[in-house]
Amino acid sequence: MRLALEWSDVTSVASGPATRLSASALEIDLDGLRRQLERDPRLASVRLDLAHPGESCRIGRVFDVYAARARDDGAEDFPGVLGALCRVGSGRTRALGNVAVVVTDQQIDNPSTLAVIDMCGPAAELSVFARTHNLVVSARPAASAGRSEYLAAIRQAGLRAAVHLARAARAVEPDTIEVFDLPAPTRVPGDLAHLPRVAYVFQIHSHQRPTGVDEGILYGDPVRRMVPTLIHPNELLDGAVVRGFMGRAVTTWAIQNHPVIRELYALHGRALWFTGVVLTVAQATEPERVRSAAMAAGLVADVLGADGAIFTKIGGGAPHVDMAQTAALCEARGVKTTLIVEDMSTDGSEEGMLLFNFPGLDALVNVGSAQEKVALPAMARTIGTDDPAAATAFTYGSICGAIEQVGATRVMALVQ
Amino acid sequence: MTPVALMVGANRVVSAAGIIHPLGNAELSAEDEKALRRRIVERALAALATEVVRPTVFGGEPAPDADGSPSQAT
Amino acid sequence: MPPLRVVCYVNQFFGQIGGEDKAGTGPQSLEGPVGAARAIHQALGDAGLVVATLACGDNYVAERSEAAIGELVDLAAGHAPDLLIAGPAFLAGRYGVACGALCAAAARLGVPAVTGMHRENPGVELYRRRVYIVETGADAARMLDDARRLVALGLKLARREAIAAPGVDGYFPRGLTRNTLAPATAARRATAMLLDKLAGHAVSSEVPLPDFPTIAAPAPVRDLGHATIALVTDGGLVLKGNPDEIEPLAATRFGAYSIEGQRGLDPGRYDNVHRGYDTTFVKQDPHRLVPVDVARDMEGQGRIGKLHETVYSTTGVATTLAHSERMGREIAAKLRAARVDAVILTST
Repeated sequence: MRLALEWSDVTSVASGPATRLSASALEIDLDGLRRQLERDPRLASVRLDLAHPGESCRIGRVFDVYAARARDDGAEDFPGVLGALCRVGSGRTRALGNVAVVVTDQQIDNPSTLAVIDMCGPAAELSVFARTHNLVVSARPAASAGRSEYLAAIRQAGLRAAVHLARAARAVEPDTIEVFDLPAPTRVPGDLAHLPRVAYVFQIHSHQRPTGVDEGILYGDPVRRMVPTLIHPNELLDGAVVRGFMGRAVTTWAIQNHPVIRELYALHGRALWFTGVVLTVAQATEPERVRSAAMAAGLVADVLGADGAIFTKIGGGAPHVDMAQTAALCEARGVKTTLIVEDMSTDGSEEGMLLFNFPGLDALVNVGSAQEKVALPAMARTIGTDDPAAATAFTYGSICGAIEQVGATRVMALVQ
Repeated sequence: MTPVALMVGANRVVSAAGIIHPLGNAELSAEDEKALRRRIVERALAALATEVVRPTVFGGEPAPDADGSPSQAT
Repeated sequence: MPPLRVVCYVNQFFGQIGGEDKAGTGPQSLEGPVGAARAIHQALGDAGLVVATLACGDNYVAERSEAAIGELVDLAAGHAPDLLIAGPAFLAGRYGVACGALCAAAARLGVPAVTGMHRENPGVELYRRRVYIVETGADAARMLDDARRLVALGLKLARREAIAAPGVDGYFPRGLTRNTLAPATAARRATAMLLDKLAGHAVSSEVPLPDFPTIAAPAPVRDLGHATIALVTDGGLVLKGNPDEIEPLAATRFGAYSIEGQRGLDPGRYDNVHRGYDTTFVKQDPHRLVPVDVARDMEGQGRIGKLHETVYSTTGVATTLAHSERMGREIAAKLRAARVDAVILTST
């Protein structure tokens, strides 16, 4: 299966009479886009703002971030969530470099569980979103909109905006084309059969927080009864999975630019054979956890025939148990594993880093501690929040994009 | 979460009915739910009355069927 | 920059007072660098000078602990030091523990402090989390070398410079984690680590693996029909309004709720603050978390002797190990005092 991501670089973004891309300058018809997004009856009003790298600007109440992508060959965008249902991951997709759509949550009373993006200062060094030109979508809920409806609506607004921007690239030749070409796992050329076969086990949701009916995650399905399954990595790069409504340790952007998948592709055919991706969800009951671990390990060992597997999780301690249980079963089958975990310590102590582990899971990489405090200075301007831009104590976890459980950043907790 | 309990050294561990309702199930009638709760607490009492030498899991309540009706208790 | 004022601490042997026979000597302040402190003075060069050497017998400190440390801290403070350097203690156990305690006390007073000892000195495990302890050899064979490394780290502390990783600045890991920026993304590091593992190379995990001590299993309850059973939970049950102010995350407090005379838990009287799971169902019916109704039935039927009149509750999400252990001990003490025979703990 072959996907071509056709990248157009963007070096400036400004408001303009029409949305168009010309020589890396992107103009956005903000009024027109706003009117389009306001057609959703679940939203009372939509506000669009622009934030640029280097500005003294803080975006607050961040719900999720989307990469600007649009299918270039008539296929559907974000099927099941925005577009109609169909499969993605092959063909051509336009992508804008250095542009992100940031969606803020204007409904929740207490924004302390939401993240911020600073366009300059110490937080900016930790997050890729300080280096992207951000179109910020802030929508107020209609009076009748409940929580789940509102979140579904703002997510759709964000995706709609992301597609709208990327479509501007269709008028120009792409600057670079990245090709992701991976045959089915059974089709390994003889001369490459000696390469270690590596799989990726991607936990996409945790049932400690059940999904709402309109909280589509996998091709729009809320994965309420999902058993471990296989998916082609291209599908993940092309919008098959969007993040659910809870948590802040993964953005949809990070899934669209999935660092583990990109890294495995980079080494594919040279240092390893990328044998495929297993999707799992973290379960909330013991029997389901046992079933899920057994089936996922089976897919890794017997269907993908992997020699090694990389694991990521989504969430805190309970998801870690699921991940560890699956990895332990893989190790018992002779499949070597590496797990990407988060430093869970709340008191900065080494003992608190990892709440749980099975013996034998000795290869752990961490994405840093979300609890560690960091002082952020005031910013001249704020978007998406009424709170004054005063200097307040933040944590790494409250900086959107600093701690990403799929391993997208260089933040790492070091034991000292 | 029984693996965590075993890892930290809890010696008598009983599997319950899930994180969000360890001793219940909103999909059951009040009567069935209480019966489920009673079964799990009985299992806990049995564990308390049993000699153990190392962290031990006592039985487990099978996950309810998709339609919410309880499976046979073990 | 003017030279830093450094006060050194040595025991009776390294202070040239005497051997084991002088281990009971009390604390004294000697002018300038004395005994082993001369190596420190030499290593300091122009950066600082040892204005005083405090010496004390190892037994004096071991027997009087806090009081002795207090006396030594007072003596040190009298010299207005910019830095306190204790030891190095090498393998001398009482000396190492004294050095660790003194540095910890000094740090509490805001005086930068550093010590050094061999990795098997008991002072390491006791104090590495609170004190910077440089790793030294087993004896004074390479005293000057060890002194140099002690001084190097001490100067950094005194100048409030950033301290590098344990391996770089030569101290025992303090058991603290701190976010840094690695050279590569976690995804890249994980892939490289897996390839190393597949090639049979040793890998260096970025997270130390947990190691919990075994707890001897209490003897089983012989006669449930006459036993008092208590119910405890970490699922976040609180009284409405959370009067005990139990934290929703990283709890340090637990509540003790009387159920005396109650047949069950009235959902109108309780709430739930746990942030680690969807608490809708346990709020609707707290019995889904704490089975008071079933326990009362069992009490009435003689299946158990008595349901204890107090339910204990805290929130078990991101609770630190230290607080978890402390709360567990405190609850256990109360239950034991109330002659409770067994506990059913519901955990989410």
